[in-house]
Amino acid sequence: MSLLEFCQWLENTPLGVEIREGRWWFSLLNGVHLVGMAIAFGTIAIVDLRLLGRGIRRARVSEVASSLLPWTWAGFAVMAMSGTLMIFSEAVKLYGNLFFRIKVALLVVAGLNVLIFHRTVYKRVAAWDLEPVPPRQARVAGMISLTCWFGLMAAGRAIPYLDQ
Amino acid sequence: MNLDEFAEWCQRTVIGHFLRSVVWAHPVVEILHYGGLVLLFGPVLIVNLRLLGLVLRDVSVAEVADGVARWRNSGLFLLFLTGPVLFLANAMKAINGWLFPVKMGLLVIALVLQFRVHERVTHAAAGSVGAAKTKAVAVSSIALWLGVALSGMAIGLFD
Repeated sequence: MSLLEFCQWLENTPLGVEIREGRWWFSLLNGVHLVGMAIAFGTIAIVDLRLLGRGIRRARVSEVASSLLPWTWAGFAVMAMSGTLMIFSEAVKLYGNLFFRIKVALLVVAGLNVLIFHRTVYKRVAAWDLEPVPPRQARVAGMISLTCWFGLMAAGRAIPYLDQ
Repeated sequence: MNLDEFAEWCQRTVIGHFLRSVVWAHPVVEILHYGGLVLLFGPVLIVNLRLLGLVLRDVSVAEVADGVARWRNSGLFLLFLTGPVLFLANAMKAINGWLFPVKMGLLVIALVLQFRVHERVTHAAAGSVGAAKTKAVAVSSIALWLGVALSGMAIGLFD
């Protein structure tokens, strides 16, 4: 089965049909997706700003990161669930949508960035935890993260404009 | 001039016309509006979660609030810059529906709470504001700003 065929199958599942044809499902999912974004992206932005030496500079980097992480994951889980359901309802259209492809690519980059950050410079966080301005590698990771998330949001907002 | 004529006039202004006729002008302004929303909501959420005692317990409320105030204000600035531009382009839709008045109502309440009550609670001496009142302020602040965001988004979704 090709990816396109898979998308066609997704769209024609009872779930996909129901969301596409129901009067309120899609708008409701959009709203839920927005709340998830506000929580996930909002908390990520605060952590990224701390990594860039801005925002709550007087707090330990590790405290800002670890106390906000559960909220980021909660927001992300809400986004992933509502996002997946929206994909079900219009998979074929999204398959051919340039901005959706950009969004998937940015999601991968953002994930890799977090993974690399946690396996390298963040392992030595004890050494720079209290510094108002973290080391260069941490600042770069913060900048990449901010850029990716802004790009994700922008690409997501642009998706419907390409269908018109 | 009645309200309908005013809305039509809004859409004919240079800015309103530009957004309606130039490809991608509308989504770009909309994306900047969403960027402002994140810049505003991130700080608002953090300070409120701190007021509820759910995050950053080792940092004082005032320190959290002061650290993010600049970013919250930048978000508000971006929102107030792009919001009226979006209104000019969608004036007819806005004045003919009930969502826009709801959004403006919630916005006014949210702003008053933010700059009258919230500021006082975050900078009050520890223990001088009751725990129940603090929690009520924090929860209503999150709810109000989410309400503003959701009603705004809904204006774009429904015709």
